[in-house]
Parts: sequence; structure tokens; C-alpha cells
Amino acid sequence: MRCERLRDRIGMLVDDELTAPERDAVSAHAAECAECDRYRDELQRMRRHLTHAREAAPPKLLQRVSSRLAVEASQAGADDDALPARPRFHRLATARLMRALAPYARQAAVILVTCALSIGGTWGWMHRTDTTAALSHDLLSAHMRALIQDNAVQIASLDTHTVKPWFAGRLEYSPVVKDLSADGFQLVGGRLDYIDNRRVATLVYRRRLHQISVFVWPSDGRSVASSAARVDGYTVLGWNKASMTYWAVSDISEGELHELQALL
Amino acid sequence: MKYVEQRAYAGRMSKFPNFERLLLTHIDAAHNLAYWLLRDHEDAQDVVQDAYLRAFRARDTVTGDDIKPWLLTIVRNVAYRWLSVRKRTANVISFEGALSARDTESERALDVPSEEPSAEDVLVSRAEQAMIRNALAELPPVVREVIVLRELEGMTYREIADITNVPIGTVMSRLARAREQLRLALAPLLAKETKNAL
Repeated sequence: MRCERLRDRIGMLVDDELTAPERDAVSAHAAECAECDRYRDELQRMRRHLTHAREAAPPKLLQRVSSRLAVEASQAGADDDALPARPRFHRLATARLMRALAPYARQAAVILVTCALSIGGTWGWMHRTDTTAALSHDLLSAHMRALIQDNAVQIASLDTHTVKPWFAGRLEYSPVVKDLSADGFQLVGGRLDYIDNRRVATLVYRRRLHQISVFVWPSDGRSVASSAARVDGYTVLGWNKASMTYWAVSDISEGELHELQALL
Repeated sequence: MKYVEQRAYAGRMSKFPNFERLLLTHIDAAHNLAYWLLRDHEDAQDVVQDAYLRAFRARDTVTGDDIKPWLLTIVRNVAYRWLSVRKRTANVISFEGALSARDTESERALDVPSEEPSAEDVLVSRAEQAMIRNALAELPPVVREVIVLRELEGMTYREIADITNVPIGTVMSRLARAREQLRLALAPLLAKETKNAL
């Protein structure tokens, strides 16, 4: 049938891919031919149906990607300013970070707030005891700082027997370092952080593309509620085990952090 | 004076100020394409995050004024690479192979939508939604990506050809194939409406 050959043209008409004269010709035909008119109608209704299958991004993805991009943008800002080598000290690092972030104030607001709270929090810790919120900000900003720097670890190794001895001599305790690669948590290495007014061991694991910071220090008798908190799109989970306190921070799901908790 | 300003500006960012924000306005499109290529919610989210980082780092390579086709090209490339890793066979495997193998998991086609239903969605019954999603899932992957880009993302033939890296004629023939197959699969739905209309 002649109209069979016109089907592609009708598709193009519906897709608005015809030139004006072609469009007029095909529309004129459809006006007279019931079959072609119905076909056009079907394509249009099909389009309406198909839009129901659109998979919009879940809000948590938007949150995750946007905070990751804010970090990336601050890094790019730092590169543009050609800042010299990575700063060594907590306070210096924070000051430099803020300078690098300045042009991206809006996106970086989240990070700035956590950094500011971190400084305030560290100070406040000397006088207060039950400021869990300040602690989680401390943990989060340590995690964020590591993400911002090129190297999240000071000792990079997949081998637990390299990471564990590195902490000896740097800390007065020895954290348990486990190889969990079989369970999908790849050991990346370790570093030292300054949390709650003391030096603590931080183990870095990787799950898919996500980095997880696990902070470990000897328990000081305070109980830790083993429930996760969401802060700025990150999950913070703390627990006590074998007289040590563990805190894990990452952008992976709460379930996956609990999985890690069970393994450590 | 003007020259100095321009230089300072160029040194700081690409031609789009606030590029992150601009990228984020297309996150639904990016996620939609990733989901319909991978048909897995977790994987689609990881692909979007990876693609966004790559896009941000490659922001100087944007050509044209509309970043959406450029971004979707990156999403598609990352999704295909993801698929090949997911298959993880020793030998080189074709992307097509990876995609069709996945399609045999037909129960995935019935994945429920991740988002909360909108008021409009509620009008479409669950069974109808499943029928639509199933019909899309049944399409061969190379055909499916063309219809997703055309009908769900409103891309032009030219843009689809650029994103999928095939000639424009191929885009048109795949689109025609997709429509034929979808018309058959959705026939009960389309017929019902015709009846109502009469």
C-alpha cells in the first residue's frame, strides 16, 4: 500500500524533523488519509505512554553527585591558583581550603560549614562531653579533607601487614587492620587524623568508586549508639568493639556500612 | 583592561561559569539513560556519579551551547564500559553481547520505578506501567537507546547520531524498528484508548 511507505515520513513529522514544505505535504496527506492519521495519532499517544517509563534521578543521587562535584570544583580552584604542596597541619589546611573554595562559595558552603564546625567542635570538646554532633562533624570534615587531597592515605598499601606496623610508633595503640577485599571492601591504606583532641588511626577502604574512612581509637567509656546518622549526604556510623571505638564515614548506603561494621 | 578580565576568567573556568550547577540540571536525563542501558538502579547511580566526575574534568572539551548531548555521550560511554566490566569475561566481548545477555533476565523488566509516582502516573495503572516498561526492556539495546533518547529525552536525530556514534540513517531505521515493535507490544493499550475516544 502506498501509505506504508509514508510511515517514515509520519515518524519524522511527529519528531519535527521535516522541512516546512515536507511537513505541509505530509500533514495534507494525513488530513485525507484515515490510516495515516491514525498512525500519527498512535505515535503521539505512544510517546505519552513512554514518558511514564522515564527514570528520574533519586534525590539522594543528586545530593551525592552535587557534594562530590563541589569537592572537585574546589580542587580545580586550588589547581588554578597553583597552590604549592599540600599543607601539613590541620588548621593550616583548613585556612588554605577556605581560600581555595572562595570562588565557589555557594557550592562549597556545605564543606565550609563542616570545617567551621570542626574547628569550633575541637575547641568545644575540652569543655563539653556529650557533643556527638560536633564529633560527627569532626569525622566528616576529616573524611572530606581526605577526598579533597589527591592522596587520601599517608601509607598506601593493600597489605594489612604493611599498614598495621606503620601505625606503631605513631600512636600509643595498635588498631586492628583487616583485609576485606573478599567481601568487597578493598583496603587502600591508612593515615593519621586529629579527632576529638587526639591523634587517631584512620583506615581507608574502597567499595566500588566510594571511599570509606574508618576512624579507630581506644574507647573512653562513652557509649556509642550503633545507629547511622546522615550528614550532608554522607553516612556516619559509630560502634564499640573489643574496647575500641570505631567510626565509619562514607557516601555508600547505610546497609553497606553496617556490612563493614560486621566485618571489622 | 578587557583583555586582562578575559584572561582571568578563562584561567578560572571553562566557557560556562558554574559548570557544576549546569551539569546537575541534566541529572534526570543522565540517570534515565544510564538506567535504561543497565536496568539496575544501583549500577545506574554509580555510572551517573562516575560520568559526572569525568564530565566535570573534561569541561574544556564541550562544543556547542547545549551540554546535554555532550553529557549523554559521556554517560553512554561510561555505561557501556560498566557493562563490559560487569560481564568480566577473559575474552574480548562485544557490548552488544553484554547487552543482549542481560536482556534475557526478563524479570528485571518488571523492576518497579524508583521514584514516587506523580499524580499523573497514578492515572496509569500499575499493570499498564509494567506493560510499558516491559515493552521498552524487550527492545534490542541498540534500538532501545535510540527510542529512549528520542521519546524520553527529546533529542534530535542529529544529536542521537552523535551520541550513539552512528550515521543519521541508522538512527532513523532503528527508530522505525523500535516503533513497530512498541506498537505491537502496546497494542492493547493503544486500542483501549481508541475505543474510549470513539
